[in-house]
Amino acid sequence: MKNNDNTNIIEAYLNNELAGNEQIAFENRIELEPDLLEEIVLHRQIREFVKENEIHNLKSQVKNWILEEKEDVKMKKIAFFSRTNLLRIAASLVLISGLAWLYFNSQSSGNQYFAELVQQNPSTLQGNDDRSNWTQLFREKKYAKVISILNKKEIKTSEEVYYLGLSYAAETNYSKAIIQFSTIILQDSVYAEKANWAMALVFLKQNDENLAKPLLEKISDSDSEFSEKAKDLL
Amino acid sequence: MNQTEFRSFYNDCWKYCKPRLRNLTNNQADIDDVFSEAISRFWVNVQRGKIAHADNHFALVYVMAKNMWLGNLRKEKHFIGVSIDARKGEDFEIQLPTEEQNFLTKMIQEKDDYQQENSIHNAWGKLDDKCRDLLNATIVYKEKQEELLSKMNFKNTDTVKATKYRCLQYLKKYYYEIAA
Repeated sequence: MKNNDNTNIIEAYLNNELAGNEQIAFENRIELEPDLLEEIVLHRQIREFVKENEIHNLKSQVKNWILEEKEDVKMKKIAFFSRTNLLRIAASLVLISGLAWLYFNSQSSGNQYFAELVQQNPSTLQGNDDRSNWTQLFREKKYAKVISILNKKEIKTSEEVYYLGLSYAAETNYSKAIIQFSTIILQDSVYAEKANWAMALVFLKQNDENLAKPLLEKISDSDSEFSEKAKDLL
Repeated sequence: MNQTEFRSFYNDCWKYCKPRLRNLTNNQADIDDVFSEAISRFWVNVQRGKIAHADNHFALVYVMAKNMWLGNLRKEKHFIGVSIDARKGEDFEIQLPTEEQNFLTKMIQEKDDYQQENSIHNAWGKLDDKCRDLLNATIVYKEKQEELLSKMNFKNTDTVKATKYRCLQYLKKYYYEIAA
């Protein structure tokens, strides 16, 4: 260690705390003692270092505060979006559940009514052999055979066209089923009400609510035997 | 140093400077860097009584940060084909007196001129916390011995003086050992 005793006087000199004559005397010493000058330079460097070091520490602290602020803003955003998203998800779940309930409910009702429809057997009224034949086959759910027999007939009664339509529907040939039901509706026959109802159910089987809805509305507004069921599906 | 005061100064100063610095650059890292450098350098100099009479401290910090940013751009030659002087018009109408402008320039110059002496840095690392706090308080913040009595639990001013002496002695001893 060099010149330990100079520490205080160097500090006093650098702080301008020496009296006029003390300062002159000390500056004279500096000229004569190179080691003293070297020590003064070191003191200056130490002061400069301590100051710069403190600035460096403050700078790190400020950067941390800025970072904390950014993190805080980020967390608030995440919290906001999480809260908003939770609400959105909850609302969506409620909406989806509701729609799903309505959809499956209408689907299950539609399916149930469709099953009833195709089980609606022809009357057991006596007719010719030909009629006995296909009505029997319809009761036995042999729809393909019913289609085959009825399609061979050049002239069909409204009843035959209606059951041909039902047979096609039962065989999931919906487009041909609709053609039969449309024919009946256009003819304005006694089977028209049934054909409207059957066609609406076929549209529902095809998930075509846009076509089913006006038909169901028309049926529900009428005094048809199917109006209550139509209201149920609506 | 009064930490609460500095935090309070930072809060208000950041609110003032942030939008203005964002008007200069979209580079957030640059903004954070020049602002933290400027406010720290400014705060130390205020505490040392070097900027006692300035009216608008926030504006001074902003001008310092802006000048540092421009200086960095010049050094790194980020501006290609763009006049730096043309951007000087974005001063938010802050007109500084020549004296203050000169002082700001000097403060920035201090930063550029400073070359860290590794031996002092290493010697500083060997000092205990109390020595570092005392030297910080006396050298950087020019705190008076009487103020340090209660703040650092000294019995009397002679103890403060003796401790400072001892700390400087240790620092120089470590320095000479490392530099040897």
